[in-house]
Amino acid sequence: MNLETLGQVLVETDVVVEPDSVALLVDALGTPDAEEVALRLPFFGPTVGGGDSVVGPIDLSLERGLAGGQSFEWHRSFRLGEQVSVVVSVEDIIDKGTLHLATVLSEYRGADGDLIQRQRTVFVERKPPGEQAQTAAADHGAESGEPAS
Amino acid sequence: MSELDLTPATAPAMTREAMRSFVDGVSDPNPVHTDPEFAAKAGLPDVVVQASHTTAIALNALIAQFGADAILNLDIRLRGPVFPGDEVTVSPVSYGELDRGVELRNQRGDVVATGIVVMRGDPDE
Repeated sequence: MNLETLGQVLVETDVVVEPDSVALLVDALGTPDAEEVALRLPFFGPTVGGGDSVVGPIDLSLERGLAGGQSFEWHRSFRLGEQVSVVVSVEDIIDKGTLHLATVLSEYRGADGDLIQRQRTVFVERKPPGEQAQTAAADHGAESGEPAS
Repeated sequence: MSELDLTPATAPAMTREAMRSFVDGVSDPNPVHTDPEFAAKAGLPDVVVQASHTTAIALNALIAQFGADAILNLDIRLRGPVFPGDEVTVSPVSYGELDRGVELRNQRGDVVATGIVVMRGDPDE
């Protein structure tokens, strides 16, 4: 991961709550309340600006990375067909032993500027084997008081 | 606060078609959700359900019983993959002093996600 993206705004754009996209989510869930659910999460922050809009800049490996969690703060549901503005940023990105962790924040606002939703997705990425070995050596050095090289 | 008054609810069995519809709906092109060969490269035995899809299963159980306007926040930790064929059940749990917990288990009893819910009227709203 690219730790230098900490705090960067990666996407700032307007998007429409497309009825066809919501219909796909409703089909996927297949329950009586599916539309209400879909209108609470019609966008995935890390891809709302395009498939590579976050994965590219933060340099997330899809083979070594996965989503470890998500949190949502809702102020209201989205409305079918409405246009909203979204800002996606890297709220946190850290090196943690053999892992990299990143928190991607996306905030959605209606035409009136009022907040609709704040969404966070945490990605966990295993470092490549070579980098893991370096981390292990550095940790060992730190534990034994030896300089990490 | 008392434990969430949630009757355990089981979502429809997961299908590859549903997984495809969901990732198309949120425009997530990550092949780990649709391409078994790519999933194998990532060390997984099969494609895995997209993160928001798992969140949606938890949210569906909450909305069905409390209504959408009652749910203010949901914080989900993904603990294990959900695969095609899995049947996920959402149940209430308590986490120490945080009572408003939910747990998602597959049909084998494995915990696939846990969550904390903030509802309208909660003290920490």
